Amino acid sequence: MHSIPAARTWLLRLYPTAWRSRYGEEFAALLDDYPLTPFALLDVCLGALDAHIAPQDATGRILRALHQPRRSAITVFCAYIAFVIAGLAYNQMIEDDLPALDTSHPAIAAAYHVILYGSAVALLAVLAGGLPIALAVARRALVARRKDILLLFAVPPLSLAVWLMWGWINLNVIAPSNAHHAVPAVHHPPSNLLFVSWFAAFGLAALASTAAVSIAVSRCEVAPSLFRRALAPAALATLLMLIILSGAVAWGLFVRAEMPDYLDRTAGPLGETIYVSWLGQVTVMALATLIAAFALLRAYRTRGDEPAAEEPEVRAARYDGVGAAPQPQGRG
Amino acid sequence: MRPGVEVVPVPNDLADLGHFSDPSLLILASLAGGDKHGYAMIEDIERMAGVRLGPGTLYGALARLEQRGFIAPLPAEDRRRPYRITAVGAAALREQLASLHAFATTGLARLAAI
Repeated sequence: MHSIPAARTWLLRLYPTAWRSRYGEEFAALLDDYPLTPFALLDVCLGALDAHIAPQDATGRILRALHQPRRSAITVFCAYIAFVIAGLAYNQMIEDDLPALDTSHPAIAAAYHVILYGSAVALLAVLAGGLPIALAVARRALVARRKDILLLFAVPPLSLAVWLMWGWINLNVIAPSNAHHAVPAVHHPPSNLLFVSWFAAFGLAALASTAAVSIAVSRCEVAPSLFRRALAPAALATLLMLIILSGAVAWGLFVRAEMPDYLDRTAGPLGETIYVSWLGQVTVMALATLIAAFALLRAYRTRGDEPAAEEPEVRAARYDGVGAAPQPQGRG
Repeated sequence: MRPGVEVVPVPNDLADLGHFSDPSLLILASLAGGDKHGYAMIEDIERMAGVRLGPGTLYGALARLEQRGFIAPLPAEDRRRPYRITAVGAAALREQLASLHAFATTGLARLAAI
């Protein structure tokens, strides 16, 4: 059947690029023969979902070993950013009360310090793993004159500038009475909307920046060894995420035991209690940690499948950290 | 693989394919009758077992079977790529069918005693 080729093209695009490079042509030929009933459409959609969830089955063991560290490094990075945003929301929620909590409740203060110091070390681990990759990608983009990659790298500073500008407009134009606050005051109902917009703008800026950097790294051809070397810092960052999460959970439990009334206070920008905010934040942190841990697990499980020798261009790239990443092979 | 590193054998068990174990069994049984491309497999399986596999299910199972070395791709013929069952695939199929045969024989014997 050739009646709706556009639909078949669209269906094929649901599959991952690596899968399409291996099975795309023969799968398209099958779709040409197969009547596109609702059952077939659903079946293809589920097949595409499966190919995304279990890509190793489509690309083969060697290609999986080559691509998995890159996928895992990007996934850990994204999970870390989500974790940091939840952590910042938590910090913003309690920072006004920290002096009182620190002096009168040592257990609560200890839990908070685990979070604080864990965050600092986790940031260092992410920088140790991510900076060499970011520099190699930027260098490669400059050498190869990849404007698309350079534009993607421009997104984080631009997002930061837009967010800062929005904060400045909030404080100096829309609500100058809040100008003495570092950020719009969350505890004052009239400024709740400003706070929500300020924090939402931060979330959007972080989302755009993370997506842009992830896409840039996934598109640019750098040596796979860079991603393999990033796995150890990524594992450390994930371990620290788990420790920080434990600190955040312990903080909530200690507060509940020692000063339960504190959790019933309204502190969130949407009028929710500290308890509800805390629950949401630790849930996001837990999900991010789980995602990072699974990504790492997949990367380490594929390490035994690494090829005996690297492609010549990849081997050459080991000397300068820049080179062509192996592309999916032709159809086998 | 790294030289000197022993290759860990892939489990010779279709149950390892989870949700795709049944389609995989059907595909192997179809290929046991000769090399076929995707649509020919779908038609053959429908004739043989009364089951019509969807395209997504077929290729999900084909990819897994190929990765485990149960089937091997042959050179494409006008965009359509035939597949062939391998010795490992034939052994896995034989094992599964023998198991099903033993189950069917026992079940029929018990039915005969009713």
